[in-house]
Formats: sequence, C-alpha cells, structure tokens
Amino acid sequence: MSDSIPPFLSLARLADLLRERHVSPVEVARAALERIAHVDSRLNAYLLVTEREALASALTAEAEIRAGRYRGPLHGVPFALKDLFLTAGVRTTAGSRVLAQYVPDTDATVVARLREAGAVLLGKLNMHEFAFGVTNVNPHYGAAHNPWDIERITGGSSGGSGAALAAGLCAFSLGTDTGGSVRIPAALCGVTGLKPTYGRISRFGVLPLAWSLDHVGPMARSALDAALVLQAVAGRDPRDDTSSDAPVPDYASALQSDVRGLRVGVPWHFIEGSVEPEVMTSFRAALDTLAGLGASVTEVALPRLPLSRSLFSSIVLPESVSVHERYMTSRADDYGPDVRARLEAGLLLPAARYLRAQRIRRLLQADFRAALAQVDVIMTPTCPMMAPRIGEETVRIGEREESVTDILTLFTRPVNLVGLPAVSTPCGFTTAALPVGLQVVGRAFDEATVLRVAHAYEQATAWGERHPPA
Amino acid sequence: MAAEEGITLDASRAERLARRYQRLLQDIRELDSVDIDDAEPAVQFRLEG
Repeated sequence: MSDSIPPFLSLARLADLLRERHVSPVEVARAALERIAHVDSRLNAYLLVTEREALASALTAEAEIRAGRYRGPLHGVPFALKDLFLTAGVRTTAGSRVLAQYVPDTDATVVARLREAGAVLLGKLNMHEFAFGVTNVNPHYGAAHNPWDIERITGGSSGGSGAALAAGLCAFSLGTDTGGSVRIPAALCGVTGLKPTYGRISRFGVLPLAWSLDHVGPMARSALDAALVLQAVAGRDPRDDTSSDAPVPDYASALQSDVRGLRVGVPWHFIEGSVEPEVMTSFRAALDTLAGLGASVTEVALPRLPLSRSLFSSIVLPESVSVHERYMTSRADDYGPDVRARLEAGLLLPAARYLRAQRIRRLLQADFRAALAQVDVIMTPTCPMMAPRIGEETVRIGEREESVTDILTLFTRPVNLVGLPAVSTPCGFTTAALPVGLQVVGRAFDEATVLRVAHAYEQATAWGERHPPA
Repeated sequence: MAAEEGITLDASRAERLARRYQRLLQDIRELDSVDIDDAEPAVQFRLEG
C-alpha cells in the first residue's frame, strides 16, 4: 500500500485529503485494492472485489474533484457492502448458496445514495448466511476471521464489514442489524457500528431477515465517520413504506457538544452475573471515563429485559420463515444446517404466539420509554464476552453454560425489539488483546446523542488508535 | 410447506431441529406467564392516504 495513504486513516481525515487534493481517489482506491490483495486471504472478509468498477468510479470522482465539483465527505472514499445490499450488475449472494448466481438489476436505495455521494464501492463482504446468525461462520463461503486473532470469529452477521474495517480494507461499510449484527462485529473487531432508529434508513433493496426487526447501519472507524455515512443515507424513501420522514439533522455538527450534564442509565440488574470479568472491568472504566467528562451515572430498571430472548425468537423465526418460504420449498438443501434448522423450527410456531410476542414487545418498549424519561442514554457492554473461537458453540459465563448466539446478543437484541438507536464503540482490550465494545442506546430518532456520547468517549480514550497485527 | 412437501430428516438434522424446537417451546412457555391485557401488537403497519 502506498506510504502516503495509511490504511487506517479515518474517513473524516481521508475526506479532507481528497477535498484538498493531497491524494486522489484513484490513488486511494488502488491502495485499498492492493491491501485487500495482500491481507484478505487470511481474513476472508470480501466475497467479491469489484476492482474494475472501483477504479472506474474512482476515476470519475477524480475528474469531478479536479473540475471543482466536490460532492461532500464521501466523494472518492472507498467503501464495501455486506453482501445483502442489492447492487445493480454486481452479484449479491446474502452469503448463501441459494443466491450464489443472483445479479440484481437495481441498486438498494442506500447504495444509490452512496453512489450519488461519490463513494467508491470496492466490493461485497462476507456475512452470516442470510444474516441469520451472529458468528459469521459461513458454510458456503468460509468463516470471516477476526483480524485481532484469526482463530476467532468476527461476530456477525456483518462480520466481513467488521473484519474489513479493522484490517484497513475499506474506509467504511454498511451492515444490517436484526439482533445485533452491526454492533456485535463492531465490538468484537474493535470498530464503531451504529444501529439507527427503526425507519431512519431505507431498507428498499436490502434482502430482509425479519421485517419488524431489520435495520441498516453504518460501520466505520469512529463515531464521526459513522455520522458522516449516516448523513448520506438517512431519510425518507418513498420505496420503503417503513422509512420515516422525521427530519435528518446535521449529525457531524451535533458531535461538537460535550457530555457535561448527560444522564447515563445502566440496567445493572440485567448485567451483573452475565458478563466476563475482563469485559466488566472495561465497562466500568468506560463509565468512570464518562463520569470524568461530566456525565452522571445511575441505575435504571428495565424489568422485562429478561424476556428479550423469548420475544426475539418468537418474532424473528416466523418473520424469517415468511421471507424464506419460497426458497425453503424449492431449495432447502442449499441452506446451511444452522439457518435451515432455525427456519424449520420457525415453521412450527403458531401465529397466536407470534402476536403474543408482538404484544409483549409493546411492554418492553414502554419500559425503555420510562427509563429514557429519567436518563438521556442507557449503556451496557455491547457483548458480554470477547470474541469466541471459530467453531465454539457454547461458552461458560459464571455458573452458566450458554450458546454463543444467546450470549453475544444478550444486550443487543432488546434494542432491535424496541427500535431505538444504539452505537457500539471500542472501550478496551482484554489481556488476550481482543477488543471490547460499549453500547450506547438513545431515544427514538436521537442518533445525534448516541453518536455525540460515543464521539466524546472516543476523544477521551485512544482505543480506536490500536490496530490489529494482520 | 412442510406438510405439502414432506420433510425427510437424517439423524443430525432431526437432532438439530429437535433442539431448536425445544428451545422455542421454552420461549413460548416463558411468554405465557406475561399479562398482555393492556398491550396492542407492535406489528409495523403504515397506511398512506
């Protein structure tokens, strides 16, 4: 890679260099492509590298910037997409053999918006099959490997996004998050991931997992970078009826304020006893840092949080069965065993149980609403544990032996059930040099506050300046 | 679809499915104990004029 373009530059800094024409989009794209060729054979983050298209886009961006037609902070910036965003003329597999040959003829709305912003697509990224799992151990295309320890999972389902960002193989990415699939790989790979409010970002052209839980979210190397990406893709889309027409604020400007007077709520009753000691140490230290910046930390009660696993499975299974009915009828043998078993179990859930879960979900939303009337944000560790080893299916935390999936989603899936915005930002490392994530949850459509808190925390710490050995 | 197509299970698939379904039954039982008299469904539904 070119010495003049370090692979871990922030998007914001890279944008400055591009705007001031200290580097050109073609130089940047070439450097990224070279690094992918050099590094990704160990990580398996990319399912497809679109080199020719990337260089063509970069050339266009270069000509536009040189001609004075600068489009904004994503212009000429290389990015990559989880492979479930439709990309016109570019294969989109959803990490499945079912769609191995699928080439869409249209772009997802968010892809079109990123192209309009002048960003340069480098390729499509590994993911858990159909986004239905959080390990990113993909039976068809191979596991994505964590750059901090390639024997360990990236987390998922947007695992290729986490690995590519952590290893300096793109400047930002888009993932999707149904039960934590942006925040979990962000935490386990040591980058920043935002699940915005339900409806904040269009899902048109994004292959679904479960309609009432799916969110599109930016992943990047900082909260500021995530804010810049969110700015480009947020807002009402007439082609997605669930997208919101709530105004889109200037997110980067909102990061300028500090966190003095911020009220932080922590649901200790749900956290204690469920978290690895090293993760707990990092989490407590993060709270201390925020208190040192002028925030106050109190306990909040979220009494129905323990129902989240049952609620989540009672909703995600029938919704995903509905999405997959056609292919499960005709192509069942093309699914990997874990996803197939989930879908087949979902077939057996009575409709009344699904609706019962949707009703209880209202009660959980009421709990969060009440808590967020008392505090400005709620914080938890993003995941209770560091990245497990590839192939590990259960882990022991305290006295309990539980599935990796249940543990990793413990604090993330409740937030999908209530649809609120949440960011994961790095908050430390274990003694094994594995990243730990801090989750910040805010009020509906208040992405600005969760990003502001993450930004203030990042400015006060240096976790994002560490990079993996790969 | 299962009834129409018929499901043939080898031992490992049957075991995996049984495990999943057992988990789902646990989840269902847990939710059975919640009082939902005051809760409307949270299904996303939007009408345009």
